[in-house]
Amino acid sequence: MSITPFKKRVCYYYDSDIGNYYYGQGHPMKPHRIRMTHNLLLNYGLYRKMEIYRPHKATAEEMTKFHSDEYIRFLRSIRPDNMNDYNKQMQRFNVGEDCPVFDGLYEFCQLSAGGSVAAAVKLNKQSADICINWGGGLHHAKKSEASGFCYVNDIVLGILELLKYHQRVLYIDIDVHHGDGVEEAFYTTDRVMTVSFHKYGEYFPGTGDLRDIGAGKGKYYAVNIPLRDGMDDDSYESIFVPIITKVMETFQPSAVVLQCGADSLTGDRLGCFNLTVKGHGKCVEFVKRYGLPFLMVGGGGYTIRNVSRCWTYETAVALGAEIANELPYNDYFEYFGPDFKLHISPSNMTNTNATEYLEKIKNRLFENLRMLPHAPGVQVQAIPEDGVRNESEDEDNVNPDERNPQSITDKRIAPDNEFSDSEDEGMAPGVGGGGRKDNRSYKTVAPARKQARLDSNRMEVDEPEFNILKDDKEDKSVSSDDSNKKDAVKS
Amino acid sequence: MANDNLEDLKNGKRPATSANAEIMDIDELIQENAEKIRVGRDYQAVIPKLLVPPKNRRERLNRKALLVWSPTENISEIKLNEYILLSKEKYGYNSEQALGMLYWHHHDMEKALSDLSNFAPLPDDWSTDDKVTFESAFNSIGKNFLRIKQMMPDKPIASLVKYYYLWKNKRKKSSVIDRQAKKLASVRANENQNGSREGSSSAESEPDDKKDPGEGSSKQSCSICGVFVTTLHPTQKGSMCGTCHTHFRRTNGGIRPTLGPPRPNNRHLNVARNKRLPPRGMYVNHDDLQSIASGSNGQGETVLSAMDDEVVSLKCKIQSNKQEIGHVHKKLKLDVTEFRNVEPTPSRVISRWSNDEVMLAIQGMRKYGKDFKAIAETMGTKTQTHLKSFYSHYRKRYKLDTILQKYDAEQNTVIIELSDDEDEPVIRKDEPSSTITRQSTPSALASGTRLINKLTLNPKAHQTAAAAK
Repeated sequence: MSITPFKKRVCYYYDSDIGNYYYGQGHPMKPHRIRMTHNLLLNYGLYRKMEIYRPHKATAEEMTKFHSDEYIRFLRSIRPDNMNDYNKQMQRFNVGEDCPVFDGLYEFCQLSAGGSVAAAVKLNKQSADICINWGGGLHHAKKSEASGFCYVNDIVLGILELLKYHQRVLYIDIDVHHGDGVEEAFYTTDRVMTVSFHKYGEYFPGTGDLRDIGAGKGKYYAVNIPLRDGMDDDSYESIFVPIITKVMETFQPSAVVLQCGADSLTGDRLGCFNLTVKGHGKCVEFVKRYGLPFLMVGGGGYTIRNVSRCWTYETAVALGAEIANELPYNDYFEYFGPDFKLHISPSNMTNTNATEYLEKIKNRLFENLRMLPHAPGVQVQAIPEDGVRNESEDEDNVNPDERNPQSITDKRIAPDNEFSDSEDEGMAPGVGGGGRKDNRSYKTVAPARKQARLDSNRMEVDEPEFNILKDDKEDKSVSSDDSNKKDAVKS
Repeated sequence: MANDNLEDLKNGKRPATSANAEIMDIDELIQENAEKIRVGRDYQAVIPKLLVPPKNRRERLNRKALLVWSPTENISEIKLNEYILLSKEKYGYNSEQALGMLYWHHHDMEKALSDLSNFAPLPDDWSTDDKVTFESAFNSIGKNFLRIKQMMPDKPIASLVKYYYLWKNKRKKSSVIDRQAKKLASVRANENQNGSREGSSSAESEPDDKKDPGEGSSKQSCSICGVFVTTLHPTQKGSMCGTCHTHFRRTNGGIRPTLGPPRPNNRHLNVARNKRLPPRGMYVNHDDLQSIASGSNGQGETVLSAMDDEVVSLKCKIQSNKQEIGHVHKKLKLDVTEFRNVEPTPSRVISRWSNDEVMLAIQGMRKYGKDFKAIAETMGTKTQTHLKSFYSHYRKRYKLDTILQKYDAEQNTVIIELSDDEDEPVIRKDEPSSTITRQSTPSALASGTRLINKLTLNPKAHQTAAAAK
């Protein structure tokens, strides 16, 4: 693949509220680490080198593109003070223990998902090379189930968005835990390859066996690299580089999503690997070199000072900027004592991954990858161009009023509508948006949608002009018909 | 408790799959009842159809995510920093807000500057009372923000969490509770009211019993803690400073312990007390402390916050200086290795001097003066000590001192010329000697960089000049 030395256009998604959500006393997941990262980026002067976006709050409709309606409805309504009314559902959706109900839970999910979806849209429009959403990366969330501190799977939502304009999307997961949520979501498709490097064996979430390779059409499109305790930089690189190289060769994706879970770093509160910030960042560097549209999301990471170090470094890597090892002074400077350095050194824990073991895994996976047809094809849907242009479903779904509360909560600047003003102003200058906007919001009222769902089968024969508004719903029902068929065939 | 439970949280939720974890062979990786990825319409995502990319890529993203800053080429880094600093100091913006303002004005610095005052951010809405309430609530409840909120209903949980993280690591140094208690204590002392029990414990831990050696004669020493103050409270146990007097009154005539059990002559305590003294060169004025603690209308607060700001800006400076140093170090190392690569790998070091080497050494001295290290590096076959002894042995024989004088004389002119024309000295110093031509380029470079380091010129320009040769 070609190596592109150009400076990348990097977009960064961050909402200043995200650090204020709190999972609960003693809970290792701390959204605050995202704010710490952000603060470091500001003080390193990296902030000013990127486009900074404040993500919208993903709507329920956006989230139900993957998740079930019931589940999202449940997330939206549950609060710490009405938990007791939902006992049954909480069990069903696995909310309560390690996925607790906390104040602002739904908003947190909205922000995290909003960032990843907006980033994917941005990449689709080709107006950025790399998009970063450290608030995302919640890879355990399932279609109708919370899991492993994750409620809404922003990665799946982002990939679904990318799939609209990309034939094949590669997902790479360097979190210490298996990326089961993403793998499950795309287990039966050949358009997404999921590659996960993780600790395996008596470890959460228990999936990610070497022999789990996908099912149906998606056979050979799930790649699992089970690892043991104590992976160090060299071992990690020795397996990451050849496998990703091979995957790139055979799968030939047109976009990449990298989950940069930082719990694979040394000294993590839950992790058991021995990677340094440099070793972790090397993965980012390596993937970046392919020059594909690149979405970087956060993920795990429970020793928060190291998490923010790691993600700061990886942002610098994405920007191609060099940053000093001495940390700049910042709001949370005391957290980084006693050395106040960016890079960390590995511990002396033993690496239980023998070279032969890694070699064997590698060879086994290479065998699987050889089974792939070269660059699998996907028919391009012949949709008239007009339709596509008008379609822009993302914008339809956004309720223009939706974001206002967010800027209200943001009280840092006295007239709190300052940013929303700029929003209006920035919107499609000269397109004469006003009237069209009204039109759209009129059309997206609920009854119309219901109708769409009912009529979805008939939709196919309708002229495209008509489908467009209801495109997603139609998609869903049609393809779920497909999967029904698939199931039937299998059984 | 925490850690074990957490392991359970993440590991134990789904029961472990097999008991023996020591599996090194792949074939043994097979774990019979391992968790499996589920297949079915309830689990997989619905894959959207591939669409034809739209022809017009008009930016229609603005409604999705709000752009608050985009990088610009038009404003230099320095100007940007100045702008941020100004908006911070004058109006209390943080750098993010300042940049937001600049972007809002389409990177027009003038407009942004003039608009800064209209949108000055609200000052920190956490009053001292709030902070005290939070701290006491935190101490009794812990990190249960829902319950803390019940005690502070006017604060949203988000704000509590935010404050918690800012306060967390600083609390050891300045506990707001302690400060507040101290303040109350001194207020009471000044107003001569009979106080409650509240401040008594904190009065003991007060760190204000510092000596102030530099003060004038108008001040008198407290007989208990030896602090110099202007007003003393006479009692039957001697005259006391405000703090000691308060304690005296509260404990019905007890003497305030300064550190450990009170002794008749507290001069002997000096060794132990040294640990609590401020660093050398820093003095704590007792009166200042009192005015800070008892000043009306938050006077003390402003003094303290100004000092805090100063400390922060100094810390910023320190870190950026450290970064600078690190950067220079790195560059230096890089540059040196670059030059080393050009050199032929040094051959064996032999103490015997060949004729060629003698010539080289003399030429070297002509070029570097007494910088034996540089000469040794250039020659590669002799060490620094070899050259030193060479110099002392052959000083007379080869008239090395005259060479050095010439070098010194030239050195001055060279520096001046170099600032005019970088190419010049390199040519001039390349004496036409066949023995030295092989090393001439690296050595010239090395000397060049040395000079350049003195002059702090751009080494790149020089490199290219030398490379052109």
